[in-house]
Amino acid sequence: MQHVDDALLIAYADDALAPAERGAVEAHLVSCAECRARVDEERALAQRASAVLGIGAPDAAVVPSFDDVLRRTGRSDATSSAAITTQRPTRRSFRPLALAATLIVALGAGWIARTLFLSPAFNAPEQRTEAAADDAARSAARSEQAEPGEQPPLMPDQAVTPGAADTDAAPAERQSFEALEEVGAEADAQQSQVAVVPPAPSAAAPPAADTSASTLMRRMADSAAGARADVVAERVVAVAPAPPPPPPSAPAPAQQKAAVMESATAVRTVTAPGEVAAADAEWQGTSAAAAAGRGTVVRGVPDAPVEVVWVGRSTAPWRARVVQRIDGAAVEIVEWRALGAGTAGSEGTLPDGRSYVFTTSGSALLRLRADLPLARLRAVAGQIAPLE
Amino acid sequence: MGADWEAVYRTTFSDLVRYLYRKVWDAERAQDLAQESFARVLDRERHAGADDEVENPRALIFTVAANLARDEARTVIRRKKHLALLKSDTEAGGPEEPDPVDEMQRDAERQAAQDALRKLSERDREVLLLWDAGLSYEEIAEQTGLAQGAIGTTLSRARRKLVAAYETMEGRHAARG
Repeated sequence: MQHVDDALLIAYADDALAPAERGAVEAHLVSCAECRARVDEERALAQRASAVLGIGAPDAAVVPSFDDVLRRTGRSDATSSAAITTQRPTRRSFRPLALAATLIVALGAGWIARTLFLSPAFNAPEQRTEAAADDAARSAARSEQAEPGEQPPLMPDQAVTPGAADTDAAPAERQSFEALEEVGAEADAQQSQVAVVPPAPSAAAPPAADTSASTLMRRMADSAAGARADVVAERVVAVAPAPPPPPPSAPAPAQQKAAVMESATAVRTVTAPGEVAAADAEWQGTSAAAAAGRGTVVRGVPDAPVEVVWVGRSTAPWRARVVQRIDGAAVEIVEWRALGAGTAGSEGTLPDGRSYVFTTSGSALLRLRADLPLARLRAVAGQIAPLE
Repeated sequence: MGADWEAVYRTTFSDLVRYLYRKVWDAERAQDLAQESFARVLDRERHAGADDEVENPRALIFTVAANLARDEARTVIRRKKHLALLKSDTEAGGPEEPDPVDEMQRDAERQAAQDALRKLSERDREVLLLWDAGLSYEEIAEQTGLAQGAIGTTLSRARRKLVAAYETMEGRHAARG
């Protein structure tokens, strides 16, 4: 069998390929265990190297105020960063990708108000607008210095003020933002925000964990260069879902999660950023419809509440994983790609008391697990159908 | 209209400090140089005029930072690495007294990581550090002058060497105690 060039596999493992190339590699990986193993190997190696590089590195959580930087530039009026951005007389043309990147950061750190302020709309020489932007920048800078957990002051009010200076640039921004909101709303409600400046960890926690979150988001934005803003946002959500925060929310502690299927009977939730990046899950959300919109029809019990949907990477042994609430219990339904993960009809009880049932639905092989009596789970299995 | 430098600062600062740390091996100095890098770029921006738009602010910051670090190495006498590492640890450390045995172990690890990194060729090391700081293949290629197609294999080789060297050295350092 022809294999993929090692350089491409490495780039794939690093998420450094453009969508077209990535698709081609993925297509090969579906049927080539050797290349898949190479990709896994490289990812593990990259993780290990990152860990070594992180040893002894400075505490990443404390980012000094931007004012310190401004003071160094020798400006006499160094107390407001808005002074720098608003002095440009020309209006910048709207750049979707840059805005998306800003909005992605904004979602993570509750900076939505800030982004609205620094858009071209507020470069008008109008005194009132500049003053308002000035104040917002100051309060935003101040809020960044606040302890994690404190509410950023004035943010909701400032967010309301700029509505008056609406320009043609604003609707385009709002459009992208709506796309982000829509995608964000589908994210798993259990996932918390990804903070750009996470709170200080204990000394024992590896600094590598803190930088990687923002690193990962940047890499996702980079590799989608040229894509539309909402597509970029979707991809970010794929790894780090962030529900749109209400304006007064403070930056929450960062906690990305992903699902890794270790075997037919074991799922592991990973939280370390390196592991999250390498996880088997390609996408997670809370709606089967959203998964279908991405091209993966998931199966489950129609009309039962869906709590979370995971879509597996093409290299993962599973295609989809759904958790639904049935009879008060969380029922996990995993669809496997290949047979051999368990035989249909096989069923039993796990050591922890949960029941499991393997079944087929159409051409899909599914495994159900839940803290329900086996007979009940068997009945549930009989109801499995594609979800819309 | 220039880039939103405060946003770039927020998202890049930690990575930049980490990148610089591994060049100057002093946490405080790394932070200082990181801020200095931003200040210099902002100065340049201010004088460049409204027409010049920075294509890639992040890559520019790293270039400036790398230059500053190189100058630093030439002109500043480095303090004993040992002391610098201990200092950075106490800055970031928790409230309790660190266990002396633990301290030695961590010390050994840090020394090993440092030595392992030095084992790499300058080009391999730079590629690895830039990747770790979050730059894309394209950005790394631009900064280092390598072909974009060579970045992956360079990275893989650098990672392998680093991990192997670290594991060898950690053993040695820990044994020495």
